[in-house]
Amino acid sequence: MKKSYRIILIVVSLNLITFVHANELKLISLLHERHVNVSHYQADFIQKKHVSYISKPLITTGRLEFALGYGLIWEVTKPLWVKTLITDSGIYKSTKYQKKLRVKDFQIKLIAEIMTELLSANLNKIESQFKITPVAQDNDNTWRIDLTPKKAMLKKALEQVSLKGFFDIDRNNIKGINEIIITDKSGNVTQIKLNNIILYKNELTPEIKSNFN
Amino acid sequence: MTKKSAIIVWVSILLLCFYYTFTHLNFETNILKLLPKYDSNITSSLIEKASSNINDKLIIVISSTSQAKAKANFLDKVSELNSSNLFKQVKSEIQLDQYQQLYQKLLPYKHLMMAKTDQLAMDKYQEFDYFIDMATAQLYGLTAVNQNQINNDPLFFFFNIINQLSEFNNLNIQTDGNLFHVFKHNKHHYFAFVQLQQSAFSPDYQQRVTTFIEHTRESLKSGVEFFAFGSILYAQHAYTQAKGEVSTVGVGSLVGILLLFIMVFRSVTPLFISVASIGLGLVFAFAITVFVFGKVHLFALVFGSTIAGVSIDYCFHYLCESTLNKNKQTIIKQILPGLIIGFSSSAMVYLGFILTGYQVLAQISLFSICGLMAVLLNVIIFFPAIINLNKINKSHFLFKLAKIILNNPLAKIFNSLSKLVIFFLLILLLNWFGLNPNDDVRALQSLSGTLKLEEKYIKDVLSLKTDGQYVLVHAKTIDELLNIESKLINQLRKQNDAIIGVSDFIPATNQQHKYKVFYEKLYASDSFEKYIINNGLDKKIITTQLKQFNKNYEIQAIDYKLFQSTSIQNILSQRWLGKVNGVYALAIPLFNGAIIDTSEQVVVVQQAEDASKLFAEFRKKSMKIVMLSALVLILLLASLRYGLKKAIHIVLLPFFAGLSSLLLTQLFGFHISLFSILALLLILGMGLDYVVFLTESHNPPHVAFALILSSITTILSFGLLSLSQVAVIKSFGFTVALGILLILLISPAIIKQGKTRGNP
Repeated sequence: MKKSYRIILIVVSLNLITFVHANELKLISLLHERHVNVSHYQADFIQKKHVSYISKPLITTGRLEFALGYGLIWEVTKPLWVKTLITDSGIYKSTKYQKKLRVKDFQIKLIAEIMTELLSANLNKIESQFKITPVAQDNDNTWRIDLTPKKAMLKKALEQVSLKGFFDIDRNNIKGINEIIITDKSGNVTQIKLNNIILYKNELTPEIKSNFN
Repeated sequence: MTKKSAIIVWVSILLLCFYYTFTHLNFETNILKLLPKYDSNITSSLIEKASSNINDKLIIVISSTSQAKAKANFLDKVSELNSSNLFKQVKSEIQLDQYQQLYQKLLPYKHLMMAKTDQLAMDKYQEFDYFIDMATAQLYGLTAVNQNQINNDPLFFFFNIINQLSEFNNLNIQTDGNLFHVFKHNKHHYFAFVQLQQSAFSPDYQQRVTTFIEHTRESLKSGVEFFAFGSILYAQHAYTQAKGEVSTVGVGSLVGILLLFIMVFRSVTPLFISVASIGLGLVFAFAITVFVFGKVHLFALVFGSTIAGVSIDYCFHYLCESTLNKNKQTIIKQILPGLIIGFSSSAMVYLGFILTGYQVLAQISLFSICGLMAVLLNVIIFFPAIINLNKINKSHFLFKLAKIILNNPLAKIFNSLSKLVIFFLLILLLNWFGLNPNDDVRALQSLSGTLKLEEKYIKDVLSLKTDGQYVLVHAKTIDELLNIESKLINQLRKQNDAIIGVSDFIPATNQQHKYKVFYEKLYASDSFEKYIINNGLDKKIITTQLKQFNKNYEIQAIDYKLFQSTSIQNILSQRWLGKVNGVYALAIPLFNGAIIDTSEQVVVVQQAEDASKLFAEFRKKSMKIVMLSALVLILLLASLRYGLKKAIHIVLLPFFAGLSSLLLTQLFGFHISLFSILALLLILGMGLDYVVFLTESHNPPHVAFALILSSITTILSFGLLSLSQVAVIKSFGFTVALGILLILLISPAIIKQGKTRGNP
């Protein structure tokens, strides 16, 4: 489940970090409280990978789903269907060729580690892994948090992770994360935009649970 | 040879043995060495190598609900582990440098290797679409790609090979930074994998390691837990327990025997002389056994030392006779025939055990024969020169007891040979059909409950599943070995697709060629060109890849010297056994009762189960040998001295006592195993002495007096063994003690009715 938290954690963390605008510590804890009871999260995504030596961006669309206690689904629909299920027992990939093929992927594992740290919403833990820099962007009503890795292992893979979102009209609350930007050590940028975000705080339905089987 | 020169020769031999013993003190304490050898020497050697790969490891875990606390304590303790000089290597974090080295070493061979999933797909799909789609998914996936990756490995084949390396260990480890870390059951666990500097079975090293671990455990802050798991901890527990039990039994029986000597002889001199005589016998036995076998297993030594219980009979026989007969010259003459026949009978039974082919039994056998012989010689040579005891008053309560024993109802019943034969056959049948042996080798050791809990905890956190079953494969060349393994892996994959083999990583040359042909075709295909163009990759990648298959640049077969590199050895440490006894070998773990075709080169090992089966075989073989020995003994005794009827009577009495004791041992709920046959052997050895001494004596009450003393010491020492925590030792002690009590009661049956019984 640790791995499943990774991506959903981005959402939580983004929300947390919104408040950093005023008081980093306070905002993180308030946002954590707000998301702590979320049992199910889903969103559509568009991912754009900008790789310096590839002449065009690699664009992927799909769906992200998280269920507390069950795991995380990263389902790509275009350019080809690939569903990745991350649970406590491992990482499973389904394609048109094979269903639920167990795979080992160090990079996904690494991303999972980062997300888990963020999701725990423990400032000490986040701070132990990243330097947190809140960047309020008053002009366009958006907020941004930059996370810069501190540890050697993370530094070898990541330059920076940025989380972006919008404030409410009165700027006292946030609408949620709607963008994650990952910059790797080679300067390649992966931009993940999240739309149609749905948060549930109720008990998981059998239908949701079945998605993770 | 004169008496004086005999003494000089014997003393010289004993001095030589002393010197040899103390310059060649060589014990084997490894419990695995106790297990019987497999038929094939190669298999035994491979098992030894595979076991040593496991035995020299120790896993240390520090857990806490607070990650900060767990981590701080862990880092602190890792630094202590490193500076302790007790361990060869302490791995607490991912060694990225090692992975980088591995990557560089393997990269030149990338077109000769293929990951398991790709191999399966290559066999399944005729077209290249699958590989192109999988590469596209990876390219567009969540994880990053870099320029080197795309240039060297545009379809992610090598990426898949590197990723599958982690499948060689069955552990579910995550990381915190570089540190090995698992979050489970709401706790943070940090792991260190430690390689021991010395053998896990070296008592001194065990002590130092466990002291260090206990100190570490105690020095942790509150809220932090410490767990450790490794063979060394079990071995140390077994050693400490054995030492404790030996002390209890030793001190208990020594106190009892001391009291007995003072009570009977009113002097401790006979005790010291007897103990010295037996001690010299043990030194002699040890020296000869080490000379023949190179090493003595601790288990053989413990069982062999039980001859002290047999040989004390010789001492008592002399001591009792000397308290009753003041003429030193005639004592030896009177008791010598009994002593020699008693020793020869016991030695013959022990000798049979060499025939079982089980080295530990052979060691026990040689040790016992040599020990008994040495004590016998000590009694004959030294006792007349040293012993000078006061006469014992015949109103002594032990004399009265001797009278009662000589006339006990059981002795009267078995005085009739026909009745004895009937009862013997009955007890033989009851043993044959009623005994329910348990040959499980795990009963040889009493495992510590605390250590088992720690092992369970660590295995749970690491999701480590082991069935203790594995396949050993060997071949004359590495190529042949990899080919055999590849076939076995394919067979196993039909039962469990998660299995991975060394040949999935470094394939045999014929497989390497197959992969090379496949890659060349794929990189020259239209599908690959479309992949490059459609995704905006540099077209030069196509020519770069194809160039590698050009004859001028063509890569050679994988150099098998790779197996010797540290980075590869670290990955394959549990699998690759290297060159053992002139053959190359590897191991494959088996799970969920997987079935595999075996051959001379492919052996399925379930060490505990296999050893239990071998123990059962040895038990049956030993029992047959005991029976055969009894038959030969009857014939020898009949032809050389007693005639057939008397010889049958002499041999059946201790045999009956031994078999009855076995049956009663089971009725009382004790464990019956190969070691119960050893108990039977001991009862036969001592029992034959009892019966022969009584047969040869002209004054049975004197002998009965000696037998009572002897049996009290034996029952005391073996009876205390039944308090042991180890099932087989417990049962062994009980059987012998009971058997000796029985033989004491029935041995007077050998005396002719009304002749001398009851007239001391």
